[in-house]
Amino acid sequence: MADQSTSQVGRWVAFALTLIVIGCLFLLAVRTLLPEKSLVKVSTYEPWSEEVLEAARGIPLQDGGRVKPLETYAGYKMLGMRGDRLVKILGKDGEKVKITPTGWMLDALFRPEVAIKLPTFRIDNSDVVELIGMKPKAKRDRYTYDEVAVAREELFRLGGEYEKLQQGEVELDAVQKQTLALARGVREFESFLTYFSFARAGIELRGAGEEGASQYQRTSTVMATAEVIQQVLQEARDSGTAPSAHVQDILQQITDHSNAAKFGPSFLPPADAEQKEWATPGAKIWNVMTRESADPAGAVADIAGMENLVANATRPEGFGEKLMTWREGMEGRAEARGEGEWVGLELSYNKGNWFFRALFMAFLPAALCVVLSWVSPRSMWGRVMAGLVWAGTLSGLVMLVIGITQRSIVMQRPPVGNLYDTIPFITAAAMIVVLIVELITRRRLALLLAPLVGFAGLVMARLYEFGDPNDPMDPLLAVLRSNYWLTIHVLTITFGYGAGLVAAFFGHIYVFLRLFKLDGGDKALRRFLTRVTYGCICFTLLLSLVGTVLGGIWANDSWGRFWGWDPKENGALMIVLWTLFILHARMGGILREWGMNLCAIFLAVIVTFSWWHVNLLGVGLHSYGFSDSKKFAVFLFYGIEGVVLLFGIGYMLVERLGKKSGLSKAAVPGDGVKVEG
Amino acid sequence: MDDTIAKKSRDPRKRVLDFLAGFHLASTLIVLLGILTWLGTLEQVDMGLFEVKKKYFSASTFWVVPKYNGYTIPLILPNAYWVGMLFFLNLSLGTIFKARWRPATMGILIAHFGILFLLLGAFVTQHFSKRGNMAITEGETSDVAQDYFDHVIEVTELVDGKPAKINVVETKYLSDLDPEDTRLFRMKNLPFDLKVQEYRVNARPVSTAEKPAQPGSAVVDGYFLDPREPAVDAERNLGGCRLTVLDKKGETLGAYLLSIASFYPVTVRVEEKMYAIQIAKSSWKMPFKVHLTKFTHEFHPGTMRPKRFESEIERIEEEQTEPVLIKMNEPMRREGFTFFQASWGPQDGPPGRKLFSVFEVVRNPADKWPEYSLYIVAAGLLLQFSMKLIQFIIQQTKRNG
Repeated sequence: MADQSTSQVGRWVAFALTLIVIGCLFLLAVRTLLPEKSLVKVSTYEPWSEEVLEAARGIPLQDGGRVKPLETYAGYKMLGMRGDRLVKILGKDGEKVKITPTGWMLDALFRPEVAIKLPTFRIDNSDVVELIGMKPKAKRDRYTYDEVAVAREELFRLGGEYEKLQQGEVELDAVQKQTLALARGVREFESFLTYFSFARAGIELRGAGEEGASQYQRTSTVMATAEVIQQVLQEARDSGTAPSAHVQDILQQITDHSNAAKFGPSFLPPADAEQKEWATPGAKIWNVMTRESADPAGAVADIAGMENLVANATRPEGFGEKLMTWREGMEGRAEARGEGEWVGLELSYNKGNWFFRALFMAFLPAALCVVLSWVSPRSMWGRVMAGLVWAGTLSGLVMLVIGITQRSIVMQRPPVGNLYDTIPFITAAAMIVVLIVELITRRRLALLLAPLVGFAGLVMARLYEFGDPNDPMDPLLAVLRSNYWLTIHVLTITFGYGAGLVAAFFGHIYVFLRLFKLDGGDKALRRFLTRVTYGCICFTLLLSLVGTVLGGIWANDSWGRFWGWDPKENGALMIVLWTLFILHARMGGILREWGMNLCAIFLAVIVTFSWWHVNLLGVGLHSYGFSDSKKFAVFLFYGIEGVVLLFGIGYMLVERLGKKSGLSKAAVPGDGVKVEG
Repeated sequence: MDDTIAKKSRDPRKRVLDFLAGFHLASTLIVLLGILTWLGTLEQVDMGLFEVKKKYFSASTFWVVPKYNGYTIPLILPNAYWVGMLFFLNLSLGTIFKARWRPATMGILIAHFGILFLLLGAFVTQHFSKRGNMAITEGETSDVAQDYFDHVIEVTELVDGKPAKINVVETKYLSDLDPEDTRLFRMKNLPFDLKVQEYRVNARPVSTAEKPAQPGSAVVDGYFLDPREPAVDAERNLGGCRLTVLDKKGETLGAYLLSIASFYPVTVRVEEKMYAIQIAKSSWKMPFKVHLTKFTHEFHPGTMRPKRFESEIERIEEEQTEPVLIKMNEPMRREGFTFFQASWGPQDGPPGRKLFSVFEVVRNPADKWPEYSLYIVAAGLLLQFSMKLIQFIIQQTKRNG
């Protein structure tokens, strides 16, 4: 009776623990969705029509070395500045208005006077706000450009200082890093605000109008006279005199417009097929005026086209159509160059929002069903819940696979090429391994694990993306541009990570079952679990060993050495060595049930070291930038696993001591039984 | 049950064999290798890869005292090289004497042979491979590769201002020298001998007008060798030494500072002959010449992220010339040498300027061994684990009815 009640208590403790884990993960995930505490009121805000947004989303542009839709570009820019992908404000009559990244980008480009009132900058650290002389707002509240502009000068001064320090390889502290990031963000936002100033302001011809008033000309019109202006300048040079003030004024305005539009999105595909870089309007203006343009007439037409767009942007009717016509023109030019082929698919990927949907619409409900199934696992209720878990898990996995596949096609490479890519892939790989185990064993144990794996993996992916807002679909470095090696080495090794984590999951289940006495003393269940763990470790060894050697062969082809003791290589080797140790120690009788499962848990620590930690060392050929929050997460994980291991080892020792002293109760059979394999 | 454990014996020789070939030793060595790999990885942050490789993974020491974040960890561990050697022995003995050779364990045996072959390849690579680099400017030809780390002292006899014979003091006679050591080199082909002092792996010649000489650094012609900490990237080390030229009776003919940082060698006139003396990275001659026709590099548009870089070369062997393209992930293999596209420059030069391409040049007799071992290991593990998986599935299917 005492054991039964202990088991019941254990059951509810485990129930509560699982709920807490899901709750924590859920909170981490929704933290990325939380709006600011107080919404900014922009009573003049007029939302863009769906027609305009639809036309704008798919505008192709070149950024980060590839052609992508404006929607993707705007999404990452907004994420970088705001920390999320949705602006919420109070519009006319205090109504809540939601602004998507595309709408926000259109505001910045076409309506800067409105965009500067939108809450655009997230500054988490109040020290940064105070450092640049602003008044801190509540946590999570965003700042408008108008608000930041007051401190612009000081911000840029400090930004420049920190940039120099960083170039001198000085490690910046958190406040310095965030100040620098803010300065860069503000500067970039300014490049959007001034992007179309050439079209809005035109060229002022002072005194050319009646009674000395100014006349205005389109920038494109003045560009068309570039040859004449250059002749005038040449004549002035030849005669040794300065050009007239009138010409100098025009040139100054042209230069200002060109500089203001030199940065920001590169919308204009070049006519010359040999020319790889798409142009910004600023570059076009500059090249025409300096007569460096290979196609000045085309450049003038491009600028005139943009001027027409800007002129129509303030008129609600017809802008969507005009924008779509302009977009089609750019799409046609991109297509003629053999570029932009996957923009449509990327839009579909963005619209699908597969990882978000899988996270919140499939894995989260399925994970909750896992918890609910615990209420009465062997009853009809339990079976219904299991059915729902299957449904949620499979639908989530399908979404995950669709997302990974679409990304892969858009990137035109295998699904894993950078650290972000590894997360959804390893999540899917781990889930597949877990579901295969379930199909083989049909004990509903692995099944219950699957949605938790998917949920945890996609929360991690989301946090990573929000913490490092750079487009992970941008092309890879020269050395990584080998689809053959990316396929056979990277996929194998990452699959190995997944298998290692699954082994660790089963190790956790074993330890928790024992700690909370949930197995009811069932020796067969313990043996079964240990055999599953053992199988997963074998699978991890196979994948990690083959993957590591393949990596060495690749390194031998690209860097001239099979093995270089690079941290990433060492991490992979550590996984191989640890799994080899487990298998040999088991064969040598050193490890039995407890040992095998505790070692499997430690395997998660080694996988984490190899997958994440080596990247924060800042040395080697696989080093990536790493934020403090990710470092914290890695060490937190070590800490949690350390606690689990301590409890596991403690419990195991207590049990053994109890056995030796003859005080053991009936609840510990199965320990010390050698696992057959 | 375990298939491969043999029963314990009372015979002492057998017991030694049992120990050397046993799972306990294997497990211990594997864990030790793991710990050493982990510590060696962490220590790279402070020491750099080259020094860590020397400390943890070379045959030159038996023991390692790890450091982390600048602090010494009070632990004495065996060097990974020797642990690896012992592991090789353990694995060989275990596979030959202890494992049961039967169909059920065939996969494991195959995998073990694969691992042995892999370790053997690592041994051959460590002791018999040679690495260096060759930098060639577009339009030029070279057949000399230069080592990344090793220093030599070259004494070149000049005839009509041109190099004739070269005598070399090899790396192995310099690398064990400490700055306070003195070593005399009797040069049997030359009318003088060389006394080397203050040999430093990384140092710069500095004028005493700029900075007072450090204790232990002698001043020669107003300059001294200013010692520097070994660079984290060891190829950046600029070695140097103080050299005294002695006649065969031991009389000093001149004292000089040699440094890799110097643009020109020092010249010495002895018995009416001119000699140029310099310390340099050691170099070796290729059995063929390489002519760089064109180097191409490309960035992903609008970024500074390299997209591709490749060298169009001509390989010249006696009368035969063959065009070859060397690019990332596609090296050129020829006569035991492998040429990899490693780097290029000048990276900040104006457009149209001639570029140079840097090839990593490797001679490794075990170049392809890892690949062969992979096939063996993968086949063995697949066979073994598939058999286990099938057994498990059959059991579960029976159990599930």
